[in-house]
Amino acid sequence: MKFRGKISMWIRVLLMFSAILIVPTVSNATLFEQVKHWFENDNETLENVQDDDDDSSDAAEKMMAGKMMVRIDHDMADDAGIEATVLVETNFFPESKALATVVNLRPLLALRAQHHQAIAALNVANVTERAAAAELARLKMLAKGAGSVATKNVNYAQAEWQAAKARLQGLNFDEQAVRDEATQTWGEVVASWILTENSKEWQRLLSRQDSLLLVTLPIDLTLAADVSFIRVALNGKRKNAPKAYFVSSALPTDQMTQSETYFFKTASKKLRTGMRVDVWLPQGSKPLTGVFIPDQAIIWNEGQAWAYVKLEEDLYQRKSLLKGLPASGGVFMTDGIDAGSTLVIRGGQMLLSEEFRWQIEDDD
Amino acid sequence: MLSHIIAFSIRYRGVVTALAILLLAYGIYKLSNSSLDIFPEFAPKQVIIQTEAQGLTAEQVEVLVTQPIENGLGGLVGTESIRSQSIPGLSVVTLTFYDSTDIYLDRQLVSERLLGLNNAMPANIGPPLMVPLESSSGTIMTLGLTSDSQDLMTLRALVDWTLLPRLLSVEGVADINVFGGEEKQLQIQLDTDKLARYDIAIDEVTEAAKLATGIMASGYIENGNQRMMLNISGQPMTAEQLAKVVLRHTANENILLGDVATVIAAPAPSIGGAAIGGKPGVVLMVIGQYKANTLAVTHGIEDALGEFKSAFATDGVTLHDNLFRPANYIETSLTNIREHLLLGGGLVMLVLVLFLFNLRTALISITAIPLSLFTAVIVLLEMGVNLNIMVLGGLAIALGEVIDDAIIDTENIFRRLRENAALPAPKSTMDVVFKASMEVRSSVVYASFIVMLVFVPLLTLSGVAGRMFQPLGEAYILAIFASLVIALTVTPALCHILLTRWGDLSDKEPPLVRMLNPIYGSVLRLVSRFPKITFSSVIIFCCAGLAILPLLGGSFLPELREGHYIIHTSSVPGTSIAESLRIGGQLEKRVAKIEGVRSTSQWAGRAERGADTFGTHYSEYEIDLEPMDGPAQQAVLDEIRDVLEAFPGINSEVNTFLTERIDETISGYTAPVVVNVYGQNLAELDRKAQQIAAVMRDIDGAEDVQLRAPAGEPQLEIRLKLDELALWGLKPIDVMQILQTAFDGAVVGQVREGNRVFDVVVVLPAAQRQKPADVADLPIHTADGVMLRLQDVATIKQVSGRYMILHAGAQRLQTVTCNVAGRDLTSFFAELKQRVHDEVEFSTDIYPEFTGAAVAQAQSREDLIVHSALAGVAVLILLFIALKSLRNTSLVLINLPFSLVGGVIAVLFTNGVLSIGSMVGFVTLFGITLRNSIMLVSHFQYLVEEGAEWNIDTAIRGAKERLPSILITALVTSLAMLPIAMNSDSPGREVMGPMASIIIGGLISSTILNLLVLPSVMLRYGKFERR
Repeated sequence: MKFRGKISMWIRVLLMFSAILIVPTVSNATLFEQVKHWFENDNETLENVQDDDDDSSDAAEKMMAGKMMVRIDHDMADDAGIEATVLVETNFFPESKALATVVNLRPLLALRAQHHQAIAALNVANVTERAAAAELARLKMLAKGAGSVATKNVNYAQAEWQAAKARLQGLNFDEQAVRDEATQTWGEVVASWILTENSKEWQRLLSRQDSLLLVTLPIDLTLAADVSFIRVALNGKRKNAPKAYFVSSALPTDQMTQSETYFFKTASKKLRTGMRVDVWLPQGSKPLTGVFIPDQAIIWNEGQAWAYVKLEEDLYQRKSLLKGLPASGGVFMTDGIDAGSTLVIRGGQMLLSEEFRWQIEDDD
Repeated sequence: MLSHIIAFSIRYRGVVTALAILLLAYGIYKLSNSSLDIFPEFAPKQVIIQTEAQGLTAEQVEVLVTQPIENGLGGLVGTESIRSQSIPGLSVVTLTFYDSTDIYLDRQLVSERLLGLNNAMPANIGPPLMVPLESSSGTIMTLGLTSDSQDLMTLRALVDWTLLPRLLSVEGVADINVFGGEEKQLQIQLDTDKLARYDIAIDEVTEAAKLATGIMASGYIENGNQRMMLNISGQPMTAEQLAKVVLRHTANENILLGDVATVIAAPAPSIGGAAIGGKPGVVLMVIGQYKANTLAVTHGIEDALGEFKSAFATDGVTLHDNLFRPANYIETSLTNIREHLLLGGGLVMLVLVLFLFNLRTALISITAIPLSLFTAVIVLLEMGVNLNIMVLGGLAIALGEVIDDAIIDTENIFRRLRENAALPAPKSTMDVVFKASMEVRSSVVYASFIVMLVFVPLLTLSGVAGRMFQPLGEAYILAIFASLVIALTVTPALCHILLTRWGDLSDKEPPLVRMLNPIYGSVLRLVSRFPKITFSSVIIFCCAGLAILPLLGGSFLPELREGHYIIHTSSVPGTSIAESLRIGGQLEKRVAKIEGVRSTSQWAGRAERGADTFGTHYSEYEIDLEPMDGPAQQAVLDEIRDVLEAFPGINSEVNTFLTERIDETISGYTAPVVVNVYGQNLAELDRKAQQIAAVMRDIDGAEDVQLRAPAGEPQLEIRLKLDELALWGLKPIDVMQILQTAFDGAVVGQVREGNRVFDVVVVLPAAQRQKPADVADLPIHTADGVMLRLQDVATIKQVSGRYMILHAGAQRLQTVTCNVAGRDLTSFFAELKQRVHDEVEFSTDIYPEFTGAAVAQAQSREDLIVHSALAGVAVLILLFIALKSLRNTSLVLINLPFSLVGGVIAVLFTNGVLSIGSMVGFVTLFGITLRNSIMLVSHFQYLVEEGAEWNIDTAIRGAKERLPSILITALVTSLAMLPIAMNSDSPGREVMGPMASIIIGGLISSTILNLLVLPSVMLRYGKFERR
């Protein structure tokens, strides 16, 4: 009886302890693991109980893989401050920006003075030559008719005329040289202004009614053939910039640029010699039709600009602006985004963030 | 020895009583002068070095700044690890030292090394600065300024030059992080058109501005009588004056700075922004020094702020001094704990009076509470331990126990004195008191030591858990030890003084005991008659209780009810401050609508020397609540979480401040599975990490697979065309300098406005620093006077760069982490390792490391097991010594499952979550349970020793005699805990609440089973013999 009691006691004790060890294994965890579970300050603890990190799978669900779309509840979009506007069709003259210098007229004046001198000298030489020729003719006539003039004198007059003729020819060359230099340096059009007496254009330049601009294009830019005018901004602002009219292409100048240069003239009275100003060159003469995407809607990602367009009440799509033409204050799109589309103008970065939510690092 | 102590105490009872009174008085004095904090210093010993590198990308920061610092700091004595983060504009190197080192010495060593590193930094970068030594809790207060009439620049200047110096002078303030506002600069904003027009290069402007604003010492003149210092004044100090500085002089005219630039006071490029209630402003975060007292520093700050309030009001500046005040939590907690102590003390007194039916005995017993607790407090304060919620927690759970020894002693003395009084020839009262004390001496001593021993493993915990709970353990052990000393000295002395005079002692038992005894005797007899049914029922009961255990959730700490929440949000890298603030404003609007939310504020980006080192895509919000109870706070939290979950474009997290701090402290080790890939080539590291992530995703059980430092930050890559540069006679550095000046600003000097000093900076206007096209069109002036654009000499492309580059042990690494669900970690690790090695190829210079929370904590767990085992053996040895029988010792142990079951049921009925506090509760419970078992079993032994036969009558008699003390101690402990347990979800009780519930639950089950089942078990299987 006593023996049975002992066995019974130990069986009960064993049962009791094995219960402690075995029962928890029913749920795939040892008691030790369970104790460890309370004990450890592991992430499970933080995530399950205290952490409310949003499940990235939610974001993944919202993102339409490959379609660059984001779905956001309409009310939440309002709360998140997403603003959108309907795009209207507009016309756009694509332009490029370049630098221009107000040409100093002194070299032109010098050339013109040189030309005047050459002409004056030419005129004198012309008169002299004509006088010498007349004298020669008279002496020849006298010698031939009456024989009252010594052959020596005729020969002398012949020499005089020959010399005057040579001088005239030389001065002609001089005048041509000035003309050539003007043409060579300033081009035919501007040279003609200098060389033409009473040139209206030259008079306007001289009286500072007009300024002559030397426009230097960026290295990778060419002026379209049909460009007749450009816009000039003294203060760098494109808005209300006055026009400057095409004069001619400029031949090599004193600058080291290897890009194209052109002369334009403008009637702006605010320009002074030597000033450097910004100019906008139209790319083509016909306006383009499309929509204007303002800077505030543009977001950059993966090497290009994008904007979000609202497709449905709760659906937004990211559209590439790769084909967009740079414009003042934004980008002009001729295709890719149609007029009538609803463009997100506030909250684009938030939508990008929502689309790439999986990329946001949890800060646990 | 103990008998001598007891005898001495009875003999010199007056002295002992006087000393006790002195101890009480000193305890009150020390307590009133002590400081109180929230938590102990729980952060590891870390030295953080931050280096500002404005304008550099993450890669540049890594190579130019972080690497030299890491190399310079390598090999410092006591360094456990060195990690770094390189993010755009900032390098953060974190050195973690072993807990055994002295943090001040660690800082000294780092400081010495840093001196030599200043010269290793690139120009205009750094210097590397140590982040001030902060307390673990960190923030002392968050306050803010907004204004309708003053602009953000004025507000920021007011903060930087007026408010900040005053607040920094408050004792205990380590640093103040200033977010938002606009840092004022005198900017020379270049007009690129005018530069082009005048044919002036950017560096010409920079040089002219430098010469205009430079300050140089001028020396002095001295003659036989006097020395006079030369003081130059009249330098340009205002925008107008600076605009008149000559930039270039020609024969005909002067070109002035004002001709080519707008000189204006403008905001510096910012690294952060802030808003209060959605309105832009300045937010200040006051950081407390290491071991600073939160309450004292808070009051110091509030006093300092009081000096400014009227001036702010006059200037139209609104001071928000209550955005976050952690002291509120301490004060509320203190009030709650005070209430708890009073209520608990009252209940204890009631139980004592009811059971002892004698006011004097109740009084004697209850004196043990203040004496023990004050002794513990005095010792802790002398040890340099600040009082905090964990220490108070230790004292609170000891509250019910410190009285036990005194009760057992008093109750026994009282009983023996009553018996003695009933004798025809009463013995000397001194003898009776001495013998009665000696009678319970050994059980009291062993029981107390057992209770203390079970707590010892708590002191050996490592990591944050260790640093948090060690003070609790220390306080508890000290209080129990003090109670033992009190029970052996003061209690017998007081018993002799108070119980042996002033009237005869009634020879009758107290009415309640008289009423309970027969009932208990009958029930016990009944139970003993059906041992099989009883034992089987108990086993089923225990098994059912234990089966619940795995169903309970786990948590490091319970939800703290601080009345304040901190939200973190993060968007994709590259989000601007303006957009972060806009999102924040919208979010704040939503959160402010939630009932109970009192104030909201936000900061985006970071502050200089800030603890959080995140980019502009990152925001933190302070949500302060109206005073409310725990459940209401939980309701607000749930609503906030709902709002955050639905909000687009952000990943978010919301926590209370302290949870947040603890979270931050243990970050880096939280993911159970971490694969670090080390190597030199970043692109290759990314590739390998992505391959590993792919493998990981494919393994069963992997969840939330994440690359820790993914690429994705938008960058504008400017690739210089060297041939073009050569053609124009430009050097790469020329272009870089122009870029830096244009977009980052070149600091050329300083100007003073009274005592305020502002930088003079040459930079482009903000409107020209917005688009990639602005960079492409940046004018570059060649030596020959040709004006080019940047795009003429460089290829400009928008790319995705790295937001962050991580280092560990001074090596580049990319990290892949995941959680594991539905399978055990060990098998997951094994499969992961095998598959990664099989499926991902590694070269010699790139290799993986498999780590994670599981691995990191293995060692500490092992330590804990060893320490627990040692403590367990020691407890068994003490039990054996106390009971002098191996069999009886084993039988006593069955009380453990008895108590465990009650504790588990209590958890289930409260919140169903086990925290470390719960574990402490169980440990406490085991100690108390063993103590009660010892009381009963040792009394059986005592009765047998006294001549009784070991049979059912002796068992019932012994149990009945021990009934009052067991019931009293159980009831006293339970009732002392009741106020905390009843309202555990309220400030100050969150950590102690679960402990209290478990202790109460466990005590109920263990006391019932101890009183009803243990005597039967002992009767059937126990063995008591006369020795």
